[in-house]
Amino acid sequence: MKKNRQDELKFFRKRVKDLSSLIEVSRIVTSTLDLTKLLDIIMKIAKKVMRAEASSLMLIDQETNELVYEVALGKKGKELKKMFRLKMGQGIAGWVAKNKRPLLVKDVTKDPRFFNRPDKTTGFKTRSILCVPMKVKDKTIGILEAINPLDRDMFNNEDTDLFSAFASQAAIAIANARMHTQMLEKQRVEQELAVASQIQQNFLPRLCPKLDGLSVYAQSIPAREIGGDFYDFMKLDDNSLAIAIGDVSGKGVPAALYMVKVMTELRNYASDIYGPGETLSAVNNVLVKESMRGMFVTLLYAILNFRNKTITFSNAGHLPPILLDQPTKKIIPFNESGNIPLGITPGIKYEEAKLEIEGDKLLVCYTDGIIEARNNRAKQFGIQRLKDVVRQEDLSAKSAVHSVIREVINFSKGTLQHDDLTILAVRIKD
Amino acid sequence: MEIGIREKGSVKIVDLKGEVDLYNSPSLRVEFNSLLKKKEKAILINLKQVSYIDSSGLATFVELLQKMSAYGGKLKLSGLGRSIRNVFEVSRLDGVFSILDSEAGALKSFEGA
Repeated sequence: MKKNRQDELKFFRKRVKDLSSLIEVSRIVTSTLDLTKLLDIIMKIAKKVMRAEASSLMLIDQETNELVYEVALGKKGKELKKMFRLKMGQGIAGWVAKNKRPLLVKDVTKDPRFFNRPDKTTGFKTRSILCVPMKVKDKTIGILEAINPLDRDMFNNEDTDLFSAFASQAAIAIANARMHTQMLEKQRVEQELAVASQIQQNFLPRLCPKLDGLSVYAQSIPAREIGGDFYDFMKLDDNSLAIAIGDVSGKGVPAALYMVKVMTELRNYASDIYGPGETLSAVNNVLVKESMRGMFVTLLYAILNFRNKTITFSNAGHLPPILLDQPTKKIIPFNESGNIPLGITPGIKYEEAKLEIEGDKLLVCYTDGIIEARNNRAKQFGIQRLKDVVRQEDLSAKSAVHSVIREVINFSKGTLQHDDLTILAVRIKD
Repeated sequence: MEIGIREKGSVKIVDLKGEVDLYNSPSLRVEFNSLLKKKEKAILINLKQVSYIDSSGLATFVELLQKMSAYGGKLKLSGLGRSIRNVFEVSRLDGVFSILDSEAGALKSFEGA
């Protein structure tokens, strides 16, 4: 009887000790959200709590459905780390991961499931293993192993209970840390996108050049954070202004980088000596040479000479602009032969054309996002509506841009903006 | 988007169905890359069941065209519906690709090439 009581007392003392170590464990494992640190902490505590010679932790690689050594403690831990991968069901760890329940192997030499390669490689001698699954809401994320009990012959069922309780704490902490890492990663990507968008928008000229008898204005509203539309103006000399509007294939960071490349090359080649055709031919050759994943750009490039009263332009697959004679409200057709977009075929000669701009004119250049904007009945804004908007009243360059943007946004109210909206206008007065 | 690959003689026919856009053109690119790896000499893309294509989709075609030209391969497109044809015409890409009305006509033009 006395013996029994003593045993009972011993049992409860052990229970209390186990429980307090679990509380301690829970405090420690929730103290960090750094996954690498956390895994290390889990292993150190596992080794201590289980009073084992070594411990190891394997996580399931979601892509390959294999178990990967993340941390292994003990003298040979470093050698093991990431060296071995186990398939589901392979070895003791694989069996536990597959069957989702603990396994106590008192003598590994007598268990055919034991995978002895790590021992052979490291020279470590495994005698006994207690392996438990780490589960989060029934989903196994990995396993924990306590190897070779210290100060006793073998692990017992109480050890299994304790280790299982420990493993579930560890699993939750790992899941939290992973979620935290993902959140940080998402924040980092979002921040980078915001910066990229800022850099891209800053690349577009904000101040419109002031020239006698001429006003220029442009605006670009990207659909997602980063779009592929752009515009540019360059004063070539006192009598001429170059304007450009373009649309890069695709969206996001690649489109933004390509756009910067196109604008840099265009600014590099733009001059009052070469005509728009020659300029586009040169830019095209550079773009083809450094071609990336089939990316290309549609671009309208024009030089307005207000001494000669002419517009010389070359169009590389872009939508033709609208040229409006203000007094008569007639639209002057932009006759052009048309060229293929830039960046596709090398050595092409881009054709150019010339138009007279005598008198009061409004030139409106735009990208496909304007005319292809849809309303909630999937109807497109269309070229006719655009013409109607620019024809109304006596619009300056700035008010023309604002009117078009306002009308397009009104038209597509209640729908998601699908494409970038970019518009550039030039008002030429006598 | 669904992608199917058939063979007719020495021509590989890529059947596309649905929308080809920014989100699914990467998977199309993977298919194209495996054709490019085998240095396929003649590829026909059948767009009969394609309802929409955006500029990312077009860029995927352009990349295939550029890489095939590098080893002397021939790429042709067929079966473009009204709206798809319009996309090619507006951006002048009809001057870049060899576009044929029917699959039969396209296959025949490969023979002549």
